[in-house]
Amino acid sequence: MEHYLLEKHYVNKGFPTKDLPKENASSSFNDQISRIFPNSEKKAVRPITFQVTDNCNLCCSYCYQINKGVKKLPFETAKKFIDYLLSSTSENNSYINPDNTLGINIDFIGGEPFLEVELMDKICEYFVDQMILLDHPWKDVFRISVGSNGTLYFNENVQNFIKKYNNILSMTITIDGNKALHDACRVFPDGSGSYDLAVAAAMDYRKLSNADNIQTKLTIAPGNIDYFYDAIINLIDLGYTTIHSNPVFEDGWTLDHAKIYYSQLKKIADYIIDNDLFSTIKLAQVDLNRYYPLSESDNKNWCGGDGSMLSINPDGYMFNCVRYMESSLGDKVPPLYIGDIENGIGATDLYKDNIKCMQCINRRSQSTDECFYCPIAAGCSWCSAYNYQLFGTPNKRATFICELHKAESLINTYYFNKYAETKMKDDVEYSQCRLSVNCPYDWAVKIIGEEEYEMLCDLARMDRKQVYSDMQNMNGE
Amino acid sequence: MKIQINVSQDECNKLESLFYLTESKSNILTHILSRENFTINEELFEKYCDEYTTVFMSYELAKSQISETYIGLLKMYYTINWTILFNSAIMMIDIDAEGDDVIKKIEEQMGDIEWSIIC
Repeated sequence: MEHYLLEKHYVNKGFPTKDLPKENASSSFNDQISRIFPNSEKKAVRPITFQVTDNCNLCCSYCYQINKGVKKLPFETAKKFIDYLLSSTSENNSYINPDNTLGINIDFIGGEPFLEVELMDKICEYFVDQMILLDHPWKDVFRISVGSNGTLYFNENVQNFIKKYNNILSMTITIDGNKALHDACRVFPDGSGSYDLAVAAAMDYRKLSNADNIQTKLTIAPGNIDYFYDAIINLIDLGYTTIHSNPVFEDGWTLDHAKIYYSQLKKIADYIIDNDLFSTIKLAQVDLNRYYPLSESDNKNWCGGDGSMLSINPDGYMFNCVRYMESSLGDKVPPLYIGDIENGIGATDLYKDNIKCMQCINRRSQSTDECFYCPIAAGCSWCSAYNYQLFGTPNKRATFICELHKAESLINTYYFNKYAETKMKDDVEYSQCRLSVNCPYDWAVKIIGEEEYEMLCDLARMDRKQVYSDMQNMNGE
Repeated sequence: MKIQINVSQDECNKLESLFYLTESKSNILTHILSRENFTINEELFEKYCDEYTTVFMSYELAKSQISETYIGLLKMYYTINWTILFNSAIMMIDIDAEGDDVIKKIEEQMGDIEWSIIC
């Protein structure tokens, strides 16, 4: 079997982690709660997302919400939703209740949620009031989070909201790398860019929240991949140390994009190593826990769009994720409702079927054999709601990002092995450590060519005869 | 001089848990006191006050135990600031002095515990 052969020779072992960036204790509320309650069988923290409006003041070119409107969530609907959640038990709501969930994240999304900041404040006040009055278990385990474009950050009411909830608030302001890139996509209706406002907001929020590290998420699309290096370097210059970025899941990627992606990532890797930032900067693409084969027993769905989350739209319908809402799906497939505010979650056959459909998803059920036994499967990602939008079922996996994932796996070995070769050569304990090139030869050479592949093998100190022999065995089988 | 040591994961988890609960119980009281026209029965309010006091005292006790275990001796000679990175169980110790004498005292304090100089 192909995957056993690869596991035998290529699983990474023993690479040092001592120089890797040390994450701050507050980096993830979910991680923190998991550490505090290590033996709990409950889910740690589940997001409860209020779509306070489907309206937005920007018209970003790549936005997944393709069907935005001007709806606003009525406060009475939000109140009913909160009352419903806080009266939930394992008997009357098996989807989410204090018996299966340790804590919650009261999350706000739009459109642009700060268009409705007064409503957000009323919802937070009511939610916390009720948890305290009911002595509800979640009163000890909750946070508030907001995903914003940053353009309304300096409005008086927004500032009041942020200051009021600062010690329990986590806010993400999207910055797409550098000004040229950001302003090419994230624009106001008159076509003007929003970069300067977003950066000013992010920098001010870093001071206000007294955080060593603020986070942003950069979206990589075919139209902006040429600028990826410039975008990342600009974020590093702005003081970002944890930089999440991922290629969009949608169709449109080609082999040429993977070649560009590799060369952009290689420049970034060189910049980080040459400027002694290896212990400071954490990039999503380079990770010792990615790009190796997964065992058959590792059957988790990568995406949370499988019944782990809960959100409500302005019409009072409940969904697993905002991407299952009409505002994201458009009119090609029906919204995937799981409940409504009058009847609750799973109250009708349709809701029950939709929940069952999402909860039965696992890595095996939605993957072809090629994906399931992929030698670099670890860390490959997908969006279940996008899969639903594309195929009419969340239980089938879109693989448009495949070539880019291969490029990422190659840069991962380059990054760690170059660091070992150049910066750890005097370290007796670690100087011999190397990551193997897990991406098979014929996949790799299509993206980086023979010469670069040989360089990666040399850097990894791999026995190329063994690699080629493995390849022949695999092809023979 | 800044040094770092690995502390026991159990001690670290206990401290993080108490730190988290202290903040959480404090947030509840802050919310109650900051809300106009918010009425809560006296018994429940007293329960929240008691819970806060209990976890706060436990947190302070856990902090002083860790401090005594890992820097008790050093504190007698130097001014020390310390923090713990909860998710990696690493204690960062900032000592307001440098030189061979300090290193000798650190070795005496740490015994078998592995430590390294950051800067």
